[in-house]
Amino acid sequence: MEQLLSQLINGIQVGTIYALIALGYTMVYGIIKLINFAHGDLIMIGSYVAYLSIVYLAVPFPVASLLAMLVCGLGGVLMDRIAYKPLRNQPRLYALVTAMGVSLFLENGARTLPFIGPGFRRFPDVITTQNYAVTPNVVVTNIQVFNIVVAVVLMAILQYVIKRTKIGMAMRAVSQDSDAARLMGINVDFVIAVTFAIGGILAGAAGILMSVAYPRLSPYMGIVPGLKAFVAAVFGGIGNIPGAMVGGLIMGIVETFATAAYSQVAEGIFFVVLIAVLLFRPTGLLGEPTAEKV
Amino acid sequence: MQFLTRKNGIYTIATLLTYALLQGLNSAGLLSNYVLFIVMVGLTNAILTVSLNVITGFTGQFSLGHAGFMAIGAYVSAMFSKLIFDIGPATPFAMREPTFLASLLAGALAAALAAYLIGIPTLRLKGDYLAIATLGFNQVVIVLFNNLDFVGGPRGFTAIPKLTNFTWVTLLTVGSVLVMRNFVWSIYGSQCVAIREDEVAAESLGVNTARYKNLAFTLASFFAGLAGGLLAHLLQLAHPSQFTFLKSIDILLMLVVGGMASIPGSIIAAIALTILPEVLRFSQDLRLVIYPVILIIFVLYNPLPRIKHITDQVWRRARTALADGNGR
Amino acid sequence: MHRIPRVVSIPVLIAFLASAFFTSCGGQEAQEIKIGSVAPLTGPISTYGQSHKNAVDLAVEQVNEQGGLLGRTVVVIHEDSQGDPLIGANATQKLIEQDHVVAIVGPIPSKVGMAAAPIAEEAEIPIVVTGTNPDITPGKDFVFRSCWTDDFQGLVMAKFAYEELGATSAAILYDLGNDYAKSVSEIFAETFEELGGMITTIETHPTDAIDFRAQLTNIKATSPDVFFFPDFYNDANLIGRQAREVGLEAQFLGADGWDSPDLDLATLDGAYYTSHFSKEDPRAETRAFVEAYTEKYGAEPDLLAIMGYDAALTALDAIRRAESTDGEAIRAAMAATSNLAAAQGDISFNENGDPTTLPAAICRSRMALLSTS
Repeated sequence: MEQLLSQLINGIQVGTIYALIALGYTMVYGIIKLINFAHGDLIMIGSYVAYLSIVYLAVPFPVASLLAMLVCGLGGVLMDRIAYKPLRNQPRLYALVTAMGVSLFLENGARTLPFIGPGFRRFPDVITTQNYAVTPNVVVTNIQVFNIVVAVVLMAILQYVIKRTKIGMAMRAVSQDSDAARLMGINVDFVIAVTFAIGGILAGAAGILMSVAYPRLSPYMGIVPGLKAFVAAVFGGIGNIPGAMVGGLIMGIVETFATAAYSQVAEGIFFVVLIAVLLFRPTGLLGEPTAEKV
Repeated sequence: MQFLTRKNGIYTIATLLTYALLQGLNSAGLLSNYVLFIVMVGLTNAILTVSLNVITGFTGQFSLGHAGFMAIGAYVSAMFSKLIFDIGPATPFAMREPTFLASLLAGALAAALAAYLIGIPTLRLKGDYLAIATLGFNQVVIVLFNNLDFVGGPRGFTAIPKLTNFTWVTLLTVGSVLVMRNFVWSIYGSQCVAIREDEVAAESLGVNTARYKNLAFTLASFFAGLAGGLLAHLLQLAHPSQFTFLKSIDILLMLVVGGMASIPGSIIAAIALTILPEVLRFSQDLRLVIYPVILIIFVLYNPLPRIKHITDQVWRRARTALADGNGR
Repeated sequence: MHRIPRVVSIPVLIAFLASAFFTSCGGQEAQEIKIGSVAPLTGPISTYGQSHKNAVDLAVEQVNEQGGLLGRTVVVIHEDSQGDPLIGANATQKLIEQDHVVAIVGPIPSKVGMAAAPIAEEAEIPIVVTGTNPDITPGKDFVFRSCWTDDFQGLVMAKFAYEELGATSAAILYDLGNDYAKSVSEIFAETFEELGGMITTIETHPTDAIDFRAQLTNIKATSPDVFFFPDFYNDANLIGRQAREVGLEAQFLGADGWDSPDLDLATLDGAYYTSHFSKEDPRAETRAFVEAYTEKYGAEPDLLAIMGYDAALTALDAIRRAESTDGEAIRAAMAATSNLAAAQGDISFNENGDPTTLPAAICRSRMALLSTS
């Protein structure tokens, strides 16, 4: 029983990180129907920005985090402007390929930079680990708590922005029907840029959380979390914001429990569960079945 | 369908000539094995790209798991040639070549069977959901082979007899492309294209979408398995890490660069994108950056039609000049 | 006259691109002896590739300072494998066919070695690999190895744990996509159980995993005396840290993949791991190598460096004794290598091409080192 609780907490921690990343994927998809393969690499950029500012510029951790999130937000907007916007009217597959190209470029480009380099970097310990024993055998670290709390707060802020602000309303409108939104006077390009920016900020935050919990940086660190988060986003219903949060959490928990049960084939179980759920809910867990207009 | 057209004749002669040229140069020692090796890998990539084209370009189904079928083909064909048939250096020619072909076929059929079984439930999914499901399948296959110790597990399946040579690769590539091309331009293929264009309309016109999607998927995976088998017997190694979703994405990239639904495009792009990293070897680290940049430029600015346009112009001017020169 | 159809462009393209390669062949410098080196100079384990490259360069430089081989300068051509078997195979082919090397050093990791070895064997060019997978060398005449195999270090660590540390129970965690980690783990488990110990649980993780808490929580519940996780150092760092966070209090044990300046000493303080050499080994050749490397590169050598150095040394020594650049002659000389004083120890080859007399060191992170053979 206690083990179950431990694993549950582990799963939630991992899941909240996936959720943050999945949100970026889902928001961009909802608005321009593009799977931004390079989104995972924003995690990497955020981590390195924070790392470099802390180590070389002696910037305190909270400031470094904000800086990282800002840079990632900007990065998201730039990606859109340079690589995706020119292909807005083309078949989606072209933007997809460009996205993959951007991803490769970011990863390999980061490698060649001397201050990033091909090897691994260790993120400095900005929070000294402290264990709390919830019960004699269930140990929670302050980092895990920090992780979960920050992620939840960010998601709450996002929900507020989406549901209660004007720009949020504009974002919802554009994702529902961008032409109608344009007719209503909404500056669609601006809204798209904002979407990318928010997605980027969340990815940057995820990067920080990851670097604190798993202090190992590498130019390729964004690939696997990005992939898993993408899977989580689709699992929850791509384009659906609560879906991404739920999807991320569930996938994190499923992954942890699968690993605990049978670590040899845990990755296989992860994907089998995914496929199984998709077969019963073909548009994802919270996705609405879209009626096709003929 | 007419087979004996002039166009087909020219294709055939061109292919035969190229084959003869490369094979001859290699036998004469003027063309290194290294170059031939790369060309062979390029041709297997061509099979992979054309087969992905059948699924994605012609039938409009977004599959990110193609490398998984390649893996199945590689492992199963190696199992046959190494474990069942036990082909070795001592095996005489008359025994070796047919059993090699049989092994390849076994691998391809296994891949096709897997595709058929997977396709039944998953091809119901649309667009990005299908992509995720196929990606998931790809990863499951990797986990499977990593855990199967009798085929090497994470060590990989080693000491596979080197049965692939340039002749086989050329023959099988040509054969595969021919079959797939004929499929696509046949009545079956047009059903698939109808599905791509508008699945609902196709269904309402009586096209059994489920059946044809599955047919295209199975056929394409057969050839992916064949390509996997060829590669395994060339490299003498099949390792799970060669067949991850990253490889699937590589194939997709070749497909897009060559042009969706363009078979010659797929072939050229596959060969070019195989050769390109080797050509860029000198640039070390930078090569990994140059490659995606070239890719992005290709997709954003689509230079191939522009280049073709320019070369057409030049050619036209040249011909006019020649015609003028010869008098009228 | 009809337009030449554009389909002709396909074969023309192929032929053109192919010919672009063979023009670089020929025109060989008769005054140089070329050896080739294949290593992951780019990619996720490129720091290993760099160490290898540095060490090989050092060995070649030392030989040239003493007048070269057979009166000629030795040149090494480095090729990048990116840690990928196919790319490594291409690189090996290129070295043999385009650059006409007389011997090859490397590659690592083992899966690239598995792909490259048959190519060298077929071309009859001797190759000295630096990977530890036991399957690379047997049955091949031209393939040799400059380090011990996974079988050995698993055994060494198991004995150490049971006999020296008095451990009776052990838990294992390894990267299931890493053949090296897997085989070391398996040998460790086998030996440990033969000695009378008990393996409480064996957990695995996928290659790029960063979160191991699920497995570690499982392991903690079985209260093992020692915890063996023979992954590469970058994974070991994370695992060790999370193990501490989860509250696992076993003695940490590792393998030669831990040997790197980037090993997180704070987290893994007090852990033991096997390696090919210990930096405090008083043996003359080892000292000489460590000093020369540190002086030239400003950093201490790691295990890849020493293996690469010894591989190069073996190859160069064989060429010298063969007194020729013929592949078969070099092979014969190499097979006859006996007690070559290399940096790790003395090298003599058995019939598989594996060195029989190399010691393993057991290193304790940060503290004093013990050496065992």
